Amino acid sequence: MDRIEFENKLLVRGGDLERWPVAEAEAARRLLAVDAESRALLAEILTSDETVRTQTTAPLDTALIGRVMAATRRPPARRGLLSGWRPMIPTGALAILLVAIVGFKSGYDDGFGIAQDLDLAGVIAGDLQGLEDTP
Amino acid sequence: MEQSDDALIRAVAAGDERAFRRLVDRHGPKLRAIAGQFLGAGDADDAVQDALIRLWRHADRFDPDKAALSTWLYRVVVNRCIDIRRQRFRWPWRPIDEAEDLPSTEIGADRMLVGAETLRDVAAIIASLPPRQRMALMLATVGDHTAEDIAAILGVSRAAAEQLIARARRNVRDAMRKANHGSD
Repeated sequence: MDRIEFENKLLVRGGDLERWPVAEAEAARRLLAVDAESRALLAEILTSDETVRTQTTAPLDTALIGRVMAATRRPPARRGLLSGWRPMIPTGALAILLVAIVGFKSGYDDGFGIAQDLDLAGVIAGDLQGLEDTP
Repeated sequence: MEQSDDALIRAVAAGDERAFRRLVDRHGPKLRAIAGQFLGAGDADDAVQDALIRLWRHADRFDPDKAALSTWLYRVVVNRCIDIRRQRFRWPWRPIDEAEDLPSTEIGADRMLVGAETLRDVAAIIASLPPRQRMALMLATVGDHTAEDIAAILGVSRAAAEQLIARARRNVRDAMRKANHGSD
């Protein structure tokens, strides 16, 4: 392994040689043993990675932990009969359907059953026929 | 001896709150660090909270043979970050396989160092990285993920992930070199 190859691998894999593939780590160690500039490159990446870690990581906020742990004390939401279909039904559609069914049914129940509807239609048709027959 | 993620997730699937708390302590700060690079404090907390609660609720469905727990967790948080950024800022998160053609998004050390005077300003350097590089860098350094893991988390090819990590590390290193020379 030469210095350029080492640097390229270093930038991808980071400075912990224990996490490199064994053969590559061995080749890198041989290079490091003889090349001071490669050792400097390694030191730079170890420093910059460590700086990134320390500058960005902090213990988790206790309030956040509290909210997360509170979820463990709530039973998971049960899946209802319509849970799989629900996303496909537009909001309000069920309410509109319900109103339509109630309205349809109450119309028949209030004396306008289908038999009366047919009679009424017959009367209207007869009237029209009668009008047409009128000289 | 420290229990593995796989052992803990099995315990969580059986309803073990203490095992869950250990996973929260183990992964929570790193997840929050990553989310915090892309979102405001409130949104970052929400993204982490969502991921951890999802872990608790769906632990029984998790299959360690399909993915490592940490890969799954980080992927959930990364996706939440992308969703929230899209909603709030219309962040153009393009398919990452375009990473081969990234020179226009790569920034120079000069630009990265605006407002950064010392090594302590490395946070400013990270913040000025293009989002995909920043994500890759955080996953590699804070998350301790390999290029292969990062490819799985970001949903990109391994080559694209390697390129993002290398560019991010090179940018940070160059900026720190410049900062060092500037302070000499």
